[in-house]
Amino acid sequence: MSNQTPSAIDPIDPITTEIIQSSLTAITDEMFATMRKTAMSSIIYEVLDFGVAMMDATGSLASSGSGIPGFIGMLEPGVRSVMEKFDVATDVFPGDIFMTNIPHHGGVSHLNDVVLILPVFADGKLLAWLANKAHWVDVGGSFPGSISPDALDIYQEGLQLPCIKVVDKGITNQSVIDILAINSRLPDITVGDFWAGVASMRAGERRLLSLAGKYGPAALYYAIEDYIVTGEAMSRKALSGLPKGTFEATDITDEGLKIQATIKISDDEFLVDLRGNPPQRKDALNASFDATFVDVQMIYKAIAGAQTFANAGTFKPLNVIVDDDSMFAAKYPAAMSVYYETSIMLFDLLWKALAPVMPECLPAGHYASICGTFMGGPHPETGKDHSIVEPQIGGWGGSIDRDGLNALYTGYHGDTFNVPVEVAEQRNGLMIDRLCLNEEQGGEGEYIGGKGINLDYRILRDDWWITMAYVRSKNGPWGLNGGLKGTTNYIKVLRKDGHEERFSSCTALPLSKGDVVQVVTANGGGYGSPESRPRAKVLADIKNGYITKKRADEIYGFSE
Amino acid sequence: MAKYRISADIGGTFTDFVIEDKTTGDMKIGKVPTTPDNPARGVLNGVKQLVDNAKDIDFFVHGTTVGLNAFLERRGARVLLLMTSGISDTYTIARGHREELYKLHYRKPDQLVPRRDVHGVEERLGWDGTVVIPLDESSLLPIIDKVKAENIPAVAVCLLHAYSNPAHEQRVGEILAAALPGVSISLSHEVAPEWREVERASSTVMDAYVAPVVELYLSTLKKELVGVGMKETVHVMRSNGGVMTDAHASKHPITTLLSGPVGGSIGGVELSKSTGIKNLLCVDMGGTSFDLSLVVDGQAELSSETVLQGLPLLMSIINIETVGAGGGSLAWVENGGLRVGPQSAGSQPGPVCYGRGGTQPTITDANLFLGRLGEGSLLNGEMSLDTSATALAFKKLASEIGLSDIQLAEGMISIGNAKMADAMRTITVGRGIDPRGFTLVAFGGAGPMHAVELARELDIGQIIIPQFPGTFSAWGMLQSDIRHDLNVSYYALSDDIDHSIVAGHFDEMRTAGAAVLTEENVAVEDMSFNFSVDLRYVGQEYTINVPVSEGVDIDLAVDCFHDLYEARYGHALKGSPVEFINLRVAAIGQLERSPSGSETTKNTGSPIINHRGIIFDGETHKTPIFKRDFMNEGQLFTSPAVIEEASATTIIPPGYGFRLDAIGNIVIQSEAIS
Repeated sequence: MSNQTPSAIDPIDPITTEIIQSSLTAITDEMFATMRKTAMSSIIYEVLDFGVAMMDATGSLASSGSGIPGFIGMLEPGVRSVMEKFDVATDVFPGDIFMTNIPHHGGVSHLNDVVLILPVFADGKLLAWLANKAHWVDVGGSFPGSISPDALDIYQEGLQLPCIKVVDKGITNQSVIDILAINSRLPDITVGDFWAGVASMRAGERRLLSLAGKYGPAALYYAIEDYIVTGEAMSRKALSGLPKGTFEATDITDEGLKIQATIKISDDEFLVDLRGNPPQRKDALNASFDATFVDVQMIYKAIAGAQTFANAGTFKPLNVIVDDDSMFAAKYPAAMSVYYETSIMLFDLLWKALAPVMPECLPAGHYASICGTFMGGPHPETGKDHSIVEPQIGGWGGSIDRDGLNALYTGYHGDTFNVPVEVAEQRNGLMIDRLCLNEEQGGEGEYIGGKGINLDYRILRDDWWITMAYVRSKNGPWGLNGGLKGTTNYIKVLRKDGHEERFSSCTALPLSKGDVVQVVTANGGGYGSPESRPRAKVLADIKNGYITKKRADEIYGFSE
Repeated sequence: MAKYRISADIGGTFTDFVIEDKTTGDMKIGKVPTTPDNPARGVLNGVKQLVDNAKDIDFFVHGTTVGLNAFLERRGARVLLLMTSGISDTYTIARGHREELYKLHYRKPDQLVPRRDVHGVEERLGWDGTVVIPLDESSLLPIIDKVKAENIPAVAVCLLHAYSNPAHEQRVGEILAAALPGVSISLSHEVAPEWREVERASSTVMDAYVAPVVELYLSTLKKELVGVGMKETVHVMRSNGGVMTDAHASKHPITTLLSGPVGGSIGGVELSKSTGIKNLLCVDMGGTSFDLSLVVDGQAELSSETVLQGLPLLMSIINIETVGAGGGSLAWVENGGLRVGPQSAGSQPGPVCYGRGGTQPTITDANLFLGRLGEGSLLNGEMSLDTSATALAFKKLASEIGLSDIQLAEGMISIGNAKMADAMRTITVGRGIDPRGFTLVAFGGAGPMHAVELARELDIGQIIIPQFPGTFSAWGMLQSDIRHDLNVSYYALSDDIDHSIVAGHFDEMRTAGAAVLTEENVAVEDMSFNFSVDLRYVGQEYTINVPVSEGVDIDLAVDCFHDLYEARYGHALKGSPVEFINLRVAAIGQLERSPSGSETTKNTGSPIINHRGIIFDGETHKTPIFKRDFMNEGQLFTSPAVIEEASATTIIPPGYGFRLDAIGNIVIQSEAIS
């Protein structure tokens, strides 16, 4: 018996094709919903820090579930790593599930993001791959939450899963589950989230098989390939409408390093040249080449058909050139637990390069940091170890035709939700003293930057800790076309004794009962010259509390 | 004795009526123009026209869109929102998500209350309802002054953890009610007693936003109906498909939000029962809008929350999609191209052919112009149509864009159909549901005219035009029961559950549910109660609803949860701790149903009354005109055909067979499939 895909694919009628293709999205959406409904940790079901996707039998992305756009291209390399290690013809069977998390080799992001992969067979032939990747709250290593900017190499960051088969023809390898559990500081949640991932893929498998039963596997092969071909055709059409030329941007990181990007858009290619950037870092702010490629996919998607679906065809015109020892393509065993801050720095840089020529798609700079905030300690109710993983919302930049948006997740995130105060307090053993807009001044323009937030967590028990690393803590988000720059991201820790400390990065900083952690996220950059802002809008800004009268006088010359 | 059960469906163009005589089971229908400035007037006109003596009305139910329209047109009240000090920005911040994944030039949904009208109240509860900071009543004083000074008609209050302990909210409500007579006050623990402050605040704001409009409408309607001799109680459809009294609706205006279109879904469920067809795609095309819903496996699709124009609402609701396409959709020209809708001629001036001053052609005019609609086919000829004015309007617009008048009329219908077919695809194909397994049920004044062509667009082979299609939604309303959903948060591990507490909660809810039903004049023997619990594994967010008996057997409920979980997700974590989250009771008041109507008399003559030349695909076909009342059960016919009746006209293009089934539905079958 051969597991290979049939080579000749017969076309089918357009209505059936359309139904199957819409079903592909429906299937990944169902996988997404199942993960959310069965997961054990709020980083998954509330913050939606996970992704699901379907790849065709050759490993090319066919459809990805909603959620975080930063996850669109993240599952292809995982499937490829399985196909490199296991021979599809002899070593891959119905009922198998594979698992990987090494960012340099198919895991893409960091060790916390564990990838699960399930091959789907119809009539004994490989039909497609389903995959699921979710942020597990703790995978061991030197630091609680397995994340620290101070990690020196991957060995400090936790348990590595080098593309292994965890379920073999439907039989779970309990030894692997035991290893996962013993290595995690939160074993119950870890095992629960593993099963949630399995449930999500099996839901997709059921739907895919019922589709194959209804229309026949041949129709599915055809519709999937046609979908990818359509994706490429739509992408090339969008590419032809983009401004052509070479576009550049530079920025300075919080450590004072210069980063730079050159984007060349031609009739048939979208090329990003990242040569000349800082070398691989000694800390954990490194990104893998695959993670960098995802940045390129996202910025391309934002300007070329943001409203349509994305699959492997969409990304055919993309290319990236990067130095071998770059922080944007770091090599094993570089630490990567804070890769996401490096990736968003790069995403923001690509955005900055294109915004002046495509202001109708790209506003001025936003707060541009995931602002991942990791806290934990004994739960005040139960005394059991508890931990929280929360990215923060922040201010977006003003744009060519409207004010910037208040308090939204970054461009790297998408349809993800913050944790409601009521849910956080009930579940996390903290009190939220304050969640309000950041009233620091900045980001003025014809269209003003949106506001970031102040979020104050009150610690209710001793022996807690916090780890965080926010970028854009020195220079605020960039203004566009004469708009002013915004404010910065940081935290303050107000000790019970009145002492106050400010951080943009810390690892396992001890917290005690009565301490308050104040998260401050940046206000976005402004668009256009402040002189062009109409008086009526400045007045409304004052009434809405977005600007002080003093600042309005300074910037806009406004007086009553 | 009061013998009539009557329902009214207030649409954008017509207000439809169904009247049942519960002593005989006879049914009568009626249609009057909607009076948008005061919809109560149209209802009254209809009641006067159809019932000799309003004292004979025993039960009156209606669907209203006044709340929804006030929201869609942003005509609701200015609302002041009060939230707990320190977190009052959470409403403005919302949840930080961006619906369009890849789009960076994103627009956040427009909220109903600007930041300057959101104020903090000094108070604070813990998550378990304990008082952390007592309510500072003086913090309300400047707020009361602002409401008075700026004449603000509605206040919404959403305090943190009020679902857990409503005491502070209740106190704030009392103080505001005393200080601000005449101002609508909405309290979050009453509107949506569930956690998540943003969604609860958003729901409470919506309640307050539509409250003054809905209250005014209901009180006006009631006054006028009572004025002509009707009983004190008016019933209103609620978004979950149940029925409630006007008193209840005035207290909970948000529950009327989708009151208008749910009648069609309930009618669809009844049709599924009577025909045994499990899966129906129900489409309601009136003058202004096209509403779609699915009946899957005999059930309407219910959700516990929804999002309207980006704003989250916690409410129990039947899933209905709406697009702006209807008989009144206007044709217009943009950059030399032909567009149709979403603007509608409504009832004033209405289509050109109504002769009320309309000059811009509508879909209805195109149907008349192409011969699909007969001059005398509307309301059994009681409403005459102006064909010469219509022809003139087509000539004028056609010359503007360089088409023949026939091309223009056909083009308008194609564009309208394509738009409706897109919406049908979105709720089926778009969700991976194959519409070819569904039967299309078309109703509303214009639905039967377009049904077969719409079915063809989706490759649906069977179409049903129910009895009295023009008033099917109104009929559906008479098939509904009174329903109130009660719930209480009860957070405990299954191992630690105190059975007497659970039983106590159920008992209290049962008593409360019975009290509401009694207020709504439901007799004890017509009451029934369904009990259920929401369970999940510890650590999870989402729950599974498990039905239980009133005596609730905890172990049985947990076993049942494991089984349901396994059936849904393919694995169960037997042995893992399970927690209780909510206890729920549905209190149902069974309403009286009329006996089925008297047997239809057998007709002996031909049902074909006439022939007309009708254009299908550019060709004129000599087409028989059937009178639905003259058709007999079981006779088989083939298309092309037109079937006329008082409330609608059915157009069947060539290629179909059709018959009347035993319960009076027209069943149309594609010859290609059957």
